Amino acid sequence: MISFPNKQQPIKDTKKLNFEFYLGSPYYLMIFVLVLIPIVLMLLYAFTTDASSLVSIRFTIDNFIEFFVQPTFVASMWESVYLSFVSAVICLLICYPVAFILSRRKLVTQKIMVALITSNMFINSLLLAYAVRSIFEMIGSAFFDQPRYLLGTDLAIISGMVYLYLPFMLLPIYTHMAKLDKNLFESAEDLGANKIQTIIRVVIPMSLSSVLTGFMMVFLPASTTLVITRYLGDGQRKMIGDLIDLAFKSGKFGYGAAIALVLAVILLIFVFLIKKVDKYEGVLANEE
Amino acid sequence: MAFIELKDVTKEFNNQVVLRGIDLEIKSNEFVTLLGPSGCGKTTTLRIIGGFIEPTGGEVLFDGVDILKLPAYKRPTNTVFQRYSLFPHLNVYENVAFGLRVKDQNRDAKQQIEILKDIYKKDCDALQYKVNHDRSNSEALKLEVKQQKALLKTKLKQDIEAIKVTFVSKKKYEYIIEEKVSKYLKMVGLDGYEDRSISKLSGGQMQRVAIARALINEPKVLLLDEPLAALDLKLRQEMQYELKEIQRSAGITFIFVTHDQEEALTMSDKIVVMNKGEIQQVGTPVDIYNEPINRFVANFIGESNIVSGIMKKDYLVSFDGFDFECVDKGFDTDQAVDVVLRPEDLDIVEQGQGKISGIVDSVIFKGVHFEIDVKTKDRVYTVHTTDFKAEGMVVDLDWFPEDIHVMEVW
Repeated sequence: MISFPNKQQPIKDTKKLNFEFYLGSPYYLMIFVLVLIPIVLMLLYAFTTDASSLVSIRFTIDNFIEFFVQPTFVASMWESVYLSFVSAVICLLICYPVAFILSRRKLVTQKIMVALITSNMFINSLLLAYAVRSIFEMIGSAFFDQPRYLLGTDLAIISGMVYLYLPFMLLPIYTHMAKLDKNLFESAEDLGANKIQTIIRVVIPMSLSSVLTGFMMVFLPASTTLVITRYLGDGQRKMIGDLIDLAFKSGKFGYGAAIALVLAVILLIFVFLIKKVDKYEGVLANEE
Repeated sequence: MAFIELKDVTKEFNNQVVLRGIDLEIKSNEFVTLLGPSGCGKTTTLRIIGGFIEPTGGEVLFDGVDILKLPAYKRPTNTVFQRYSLFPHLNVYENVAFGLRVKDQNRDAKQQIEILKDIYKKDCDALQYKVNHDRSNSEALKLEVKQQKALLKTKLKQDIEAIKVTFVSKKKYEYIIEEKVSKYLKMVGLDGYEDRSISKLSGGQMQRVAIARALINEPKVLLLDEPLAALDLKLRQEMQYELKEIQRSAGITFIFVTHDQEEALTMSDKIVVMNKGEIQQVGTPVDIYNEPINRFVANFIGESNIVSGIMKKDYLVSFDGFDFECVDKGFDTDQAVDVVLRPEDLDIVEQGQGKISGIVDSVIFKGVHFEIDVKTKDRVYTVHTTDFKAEGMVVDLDWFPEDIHVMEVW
């Protein structure tokens, strides 16, 4: 009779595994307390009526129905997504060329420029929003005889978002660009590609993953922002952040949670779609 | 006539001279090797030809035309880079096809159309000139010119249509690309690897992809920047042979940069030995090996025993206190010279039968031969021989007159 050797089991290095597990424990704790529990609570709130005690709890989808039947609410949801999407695109259009140019400059120049561009991260976002508002008020009173003329327009809100979230777009793209192998540009040129072809065929595909990262870094916080609508929207533009804020302030926790959930689902869909585009993820020149 | 000509090419980096006055002629279909120690300027020379660096001074001529103004992507050269520089985001097929994809498949036809349009414009201007300078201001002439213009225009349209018919469509071009890629992949022995990702290739395979990628553009000159440096010995020898084969069959001029003298001797039609930004010697491998022009070349190419001596007269050189017969002439009387004796040309014979006597100092087994150091009165000679001699033996060294190579002192 032929006996087959047992399939060899990979030997687990239990000691090492334990050590790594303990290293991660602060993170697990944080995830549990600050992410998992709140999500469960949020789900609970969204699907229940606003009950005063746990005993009288009742499951319902009324909160969602209330949200979807009100056209103004859906409109403000759409508006949030639209405004933050446009802002993210503008951020990208500004940052991509800058990152490309930066990555080909001297190291000192790079450092100084990056420090300058990211310097508004060191300033409180409230102040930043207020500063932009002041500028628009100045323009408004100078040209339209009414300081608040421009507040609440797409222009004001999008400028505010771009200004606030620019560094989040620049940093991932710049970091990735700086790591690209310059020899690849040379070999593209050698093979007959001119500057534009090199950018289209080599630089863009290779930096795509960082573009998508940057895009999400801008799009996600921008779509839920409160600061910008408050100061630059001047209360005229109700974005989703305001709705949630309003719901919680007026004690409608279930309703607020429902809106937050809808937003989360929409954003997740976006993230999923973006990840789909990212087919060159993790491709770096120095990986051999 | 020389195909590529470098005239007094000089390069400085931050006031440091890297190349000083390189003059070099390269013929069509030649396999030329730039050989030298690291930092001698060989890669700089190659990159100047490829268009990646601009020289500080001098001219680079292709077929008699100065190409220094041309950017790299317009030059008829392609390069195999030292670290291959393959595109990691593309697979093998797309890497090789890159050169074809960035090319406009209808460039020649489009240029023709532009030329036709220019001619049409000039003809029209000439006709208009006639009307404008017509003093009689006759209506008949105006009408005639108008008709002629219309005729020219229809003819132009017809011509353009005729050229447009020959345009290669995207689909057809894709087919051409496929055909060419598979041809060149077969040439480098990588058919079947089309869909592989670059990161899953071995060093030798990446090297082959790099060569196929460079060759598919059908360059007139292929520049190779130490392409075999990263390969192991066996693979390197194989690739040396294959490169030589490709060069012969494709009929392309190869300019090859290496610091490996054996590689240079094996592959080249012509070797250019460089040191410290200057060309030391240009010649065939045999010339360079047998007739090194100075101490540096003799030392760098192969192993040598270099002895200072004095040229007594034609065919007679004196070193280590003796006069020896040789085959060199044309030196001044009593001129100080360097004498090269290749280790494999020296023979160890029994005491009293040779030219210089000494003691076997050390014996090293090298596989094919023994490397034996023989200590004589004045110096130690290295000898390569297949006969074993024990350490401490008293022996004589012997050689033929033609084994002595006399060089001027530089």
